[in-house]
Amino acid sequence: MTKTVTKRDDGRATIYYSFDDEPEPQPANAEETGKAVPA
Amino acid sequence: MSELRWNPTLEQWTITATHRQNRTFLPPADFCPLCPTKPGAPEEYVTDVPASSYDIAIIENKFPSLKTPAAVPVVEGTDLYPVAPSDGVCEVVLYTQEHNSTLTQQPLYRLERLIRVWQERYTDLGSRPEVDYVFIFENKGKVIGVTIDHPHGQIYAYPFVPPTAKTELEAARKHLEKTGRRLWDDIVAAEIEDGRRIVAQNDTWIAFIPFYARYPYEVHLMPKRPVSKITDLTEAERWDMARNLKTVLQKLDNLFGFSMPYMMVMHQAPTDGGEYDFYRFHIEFYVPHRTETKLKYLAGSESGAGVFINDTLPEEKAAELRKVEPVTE
Repeated sequence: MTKTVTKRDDGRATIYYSFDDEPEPQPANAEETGKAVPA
Repeated sequence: MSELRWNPTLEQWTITATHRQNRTFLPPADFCPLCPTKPGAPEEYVTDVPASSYDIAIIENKFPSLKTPAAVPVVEGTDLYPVAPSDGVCEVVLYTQEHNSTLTQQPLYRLERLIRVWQERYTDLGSRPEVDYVFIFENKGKVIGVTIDHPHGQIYAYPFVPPTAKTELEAARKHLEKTGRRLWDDIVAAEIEDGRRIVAQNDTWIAFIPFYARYPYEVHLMPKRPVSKITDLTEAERWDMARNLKTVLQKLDNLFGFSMPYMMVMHQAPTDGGEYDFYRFHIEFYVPHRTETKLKYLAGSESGAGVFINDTLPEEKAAELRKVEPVTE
């Protein structure tokens, strides 16, 4: 997890968290993907 | 303008935040301030998220109730009515850049990543000297009062321990003194032994509607092991938290066949330097629906006397939720 902090002109912070250094998990089942499965 | 005003009758702070009267109110999707900024957009179309894409982003609330350094209070306090600056932080948690998504629809691995971000925010905000309590929550649905449709959570970093946490901590402390046991150890053991109020569980996490639930579908989720704050979870417990959370979210959505509005709040150890090993980190869901078409209102008894009247039995509502399939439409 990589954290990057930027500041807007009005002084407010925006923090971005990226996970590019981590492999995207392969969808193994509905619970993993959030996709619908037959009930 | 924002300040803390002490209520001597209830011994708790009220936050005034008059600038929030003018906050963004249900903007159309094309003008969503929480969507990423479109590439090449002119200055006036830069949203609250300047990047054109993100995995998870945290932004400081544009209309914060708490901010450091705080504004000078507009009135002077007295011995009867103390006033304090509203130091603290209000953040918005953007866990998806998809405007029409929900927390339920996040795949498991994204929930696990979100938990890591919550852990990081708890550590970062809790380490600030003005912050005594980090409160992570999500309000979902117009019926709850959400003013921006884009899915988002929030974090309030308070300069004091809020009343509900204080009451729970005091109850847990008394229970420990009286019995020598942690209160939530006894609660989890009682719920597992009884079984009727359990909604879902896995190896390290359990979700149940507690014996004393105030709302019909008031589901509480917690680690089975004594863990006082989110940062104390092991990697396995973090994944089990994601699974338990997703299962409960799916069940709530499928209960009546629509995306369920809720308040989801996290209770955990204060960050004021005290020792709270006797406390239990947990999540509480407050669902406003008592049936598919009827809402539970906080009326006279609840608002005026602090006495909740639950029109249902937790044992029956938990049985309903157990039967609902945890799938996402």
